Amino acid sequence: MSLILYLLKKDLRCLRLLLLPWFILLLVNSLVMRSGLDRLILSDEGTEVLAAAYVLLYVLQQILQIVIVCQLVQADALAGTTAFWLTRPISRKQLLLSKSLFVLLILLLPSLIAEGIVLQINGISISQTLSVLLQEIILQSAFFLVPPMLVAALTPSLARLVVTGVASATAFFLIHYAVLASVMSLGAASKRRMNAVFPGQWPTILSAKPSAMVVSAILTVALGGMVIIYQYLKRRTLNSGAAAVLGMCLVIATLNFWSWDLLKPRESLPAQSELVPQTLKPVVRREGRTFMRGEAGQLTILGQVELQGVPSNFFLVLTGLQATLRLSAEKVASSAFDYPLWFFGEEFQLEKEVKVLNEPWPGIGPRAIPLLSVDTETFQDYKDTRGTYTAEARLAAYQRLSTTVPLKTGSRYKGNSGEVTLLGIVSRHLLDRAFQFQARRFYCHLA
Amino acid sequence: MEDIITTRELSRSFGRKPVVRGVTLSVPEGSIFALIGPNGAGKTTTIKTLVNILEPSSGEARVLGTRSTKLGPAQFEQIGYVSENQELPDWMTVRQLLAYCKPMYPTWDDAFAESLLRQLDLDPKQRIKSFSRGMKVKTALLSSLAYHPRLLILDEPFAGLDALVREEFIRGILELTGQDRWTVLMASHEIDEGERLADWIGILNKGHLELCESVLSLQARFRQIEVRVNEEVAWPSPLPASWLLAEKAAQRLQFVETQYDSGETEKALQQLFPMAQQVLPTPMSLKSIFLALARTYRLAA
Repeated sequence: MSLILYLLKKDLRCLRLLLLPWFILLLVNSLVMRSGLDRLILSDEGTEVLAAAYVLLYVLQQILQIVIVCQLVQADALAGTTAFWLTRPISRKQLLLSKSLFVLLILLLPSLIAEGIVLQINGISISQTLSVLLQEIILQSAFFLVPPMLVAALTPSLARLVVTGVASATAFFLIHYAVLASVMSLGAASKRRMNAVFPGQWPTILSAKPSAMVVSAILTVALGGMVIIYQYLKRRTLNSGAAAVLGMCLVIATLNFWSWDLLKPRESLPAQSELVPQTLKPVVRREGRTFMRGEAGQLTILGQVELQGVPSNFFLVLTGLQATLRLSAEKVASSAFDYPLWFFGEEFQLEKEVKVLNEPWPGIGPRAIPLLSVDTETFQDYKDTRGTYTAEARLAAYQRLSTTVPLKTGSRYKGNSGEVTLLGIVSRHLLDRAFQFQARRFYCHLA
Repeated sequence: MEDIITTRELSRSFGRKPVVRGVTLSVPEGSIFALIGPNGAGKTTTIKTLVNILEPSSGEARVLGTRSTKLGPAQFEQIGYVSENQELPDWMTVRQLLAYCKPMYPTWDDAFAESLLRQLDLDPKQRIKSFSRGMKVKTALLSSLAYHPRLLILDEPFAGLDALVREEFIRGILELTGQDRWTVLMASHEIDEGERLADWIGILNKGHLELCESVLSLQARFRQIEVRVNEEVAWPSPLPASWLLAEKAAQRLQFVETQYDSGETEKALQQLFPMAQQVLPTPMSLKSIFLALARTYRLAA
C-alpha cells in the first residue's frame, strides 16, 4: 500500500503544474454555477464576451483534465519498451492501483465535492445529491476520462498519443456518420420518414436516441476501463488495441441501433392530443404588395400561410415549400424553398430563421414567408393576371408537452426530455421575479 | 557456481521477422558476461526478453532462478538495469530520483549512493532533462547501483559516452564488481571495452548465439598461425575444420586456429608440413577473434 501511495505522490509532484490551474478552473466554474451566473451569462442578457469566457473556462477545464490523465498514464508508459518502471520493483497491479487512486482522489473526488456543494447550497437533499452525482456526474466525468486514458495506455509517447487520438476520433465520427446515413436512408420506416421530412440534413453525433447515448456512454466507460485494466496487467498493446477498436464498433452500433427506452419517465406526461393531418386547412394570404428583391432580377412574393385546425398544444414548422403559379395555359412559374432545421435526437431545436406557421412573431403578428419567386420580366408581363397558386409544403409537427413544477428549491420532475430540478430562485433585473435556474445538465419545462 | 541467468532455445520474433533465434546460454554468478555482436544482432532484444520487457516467442529464460515472464518486484529488487534507451523521469533532479527509488529497495545504501554521486561527478540539484546523454547514463547507473544489485544488466552502456567518461565508467564498474562480486550482463558492440571488462563472452550474429565461453578459454584456444616454408608445397585439401580464414601463398600459409593447444598444435603442424621452416602462433585479442569470426560468418552466409 505504501508503494502505491508513494507512486501517487510522485505523480502528484510530476503533474502539479497542470493540476494547479485545473483546480482553479474547477473552483471558478463551481462558483459561477453556485451563483447562477452561468445561466445569466448564457442568456440574452449576458454579454458575448462573458458568455465566450464562461464557455472557454469550462472547455479549458475539460481539456486540462484530458491532458492530465494522458500525462498521468504516459509518465509510466505501458506501450513501448523504454519506460523506467519496467525494470524497477513496481508490480503492474500496484501501478494500476496508484493511477486509479489518482483519478478517483485527485480528479473525480474534487469535481464531485464541488458539484455536491453546489447542489447542497441550492437546497437539494443529500439523497438526491448522491443520486445525481452517481447517475450523471460520475458517468459524465468517466466518459470524458476513459477514452483519452485508453489512447494514452496504448501509445508510448505524447506525439503518438496525439496522432492516435486524432485518428481514432476521426475514424469514430466517420464510421458513425456512415452507419447513421445508411440507417436513415435504408433502415426502418421511422428513420426513413425522418430523412424524408429533413432531406439533406447532415446527421450529428447527437442524432441518436437519448437512451442509446446513455447506454453508449456506459459501454464506453465499461469497455474502455476493461481494456485499460487489461493493458496494465498484461501489457499486450496489440491485443488491447484490437479490443479498443472492437469496443468502438460496438459503441457505434449501440448509438445507431439501440431501441429500448430505459429513460422512460416514472410519471406519465400529460395526455397527448391528436394531430390529424386531414383536418388541417391551409389558408394562404397575400395581403398588400410585399416583395423581396433577390439576385439576378428575381422577385420573391411574400405572404402568410395559416394552418387552421392545429390543436393548441402543437405548432408546425415549415421545412420546405415547392410552389407553382399557373398564369396561363403556357406560362407556369415555379420555385422551391428549403428551410434548414436542426434536430437533436427526437427533439427539434428551432433555428432563428425557421418559419413557425401558426405562431405569430411576438409583437409583430403573423409572419410573412416567401410564397413564390419569379423573374422580373414575368412579373411585369403578368402582374395583373389572376393565376392558380398550388404549393406542396413539408411540415414538422412539434407538440408542446408541459407540466408545472412547484416553485420551491429542490422541486423535481421527471419528464420525457429529462429531469427538471429547481435549483434556486434568484432576483433578476432588480425585480423579485422568480425564474427557472436551469443547471447545465438538466432540461426543464415550465408551464 | 550457480548460474544467475540461463536461457534455453530462447527466441523472439517481431511479426514474422525472427530477431533472436534459439539462444541457449548461462551466466555464472559473479561473472561479467559481455554479449557482443554487430548492430541488429539481437543483443537488446535478448536483454529485454530476459528482464520481461518483451515476452519470448518460444523457449525460456530464467533470471535469478525465476522464469523471465514471472519476474516481479522481488526479483527487480536485486536487478540493476541501465540502457542507452531507457527513459528516466527527467522532470526530477538527481536527488529527487534517488529519493524516488529509495523506498523501492530494502537494500538501498544512502552512504553508497552519496559516494557514487561524487564518484560519477553528478550535480544532485540539476534536473535530468538538462543532462547530456553520458550524464543520463551515469544517472541511470547511479540509481541502479545504490542498492547493491545481485545482477547488473547494461545494454549498450558506452553508446554516446566520450572517451574520458567511458574510461571512468569502466574503471567504476570494475571497482564496484570487484568489491561486491556482482554479476554483470553487458550487451555492447564495443569489443575493446568488452574485453577489458568481461570474463565471459557471448557472440550474437543475426539472432544466433555463435559462441559462449569464458574469455580465458576463448583466448587460449584462438591463435593466429603463420606457417612458412622454403619451397613450394602442396597445402592440405580440404583444410582442417578448426582453421578459419586460411590464406594460401606460395611459401606461406596463414589461418586462425580455433582449437589451439600449446605444443600439440605445433606438433600436428610439423607433421602436416615436415618442410616447414617456421610455425608462428600469435595470441589474439578479443577484437581480432570477433573480427575473424564475423568475417567467417559473412563468408558462410
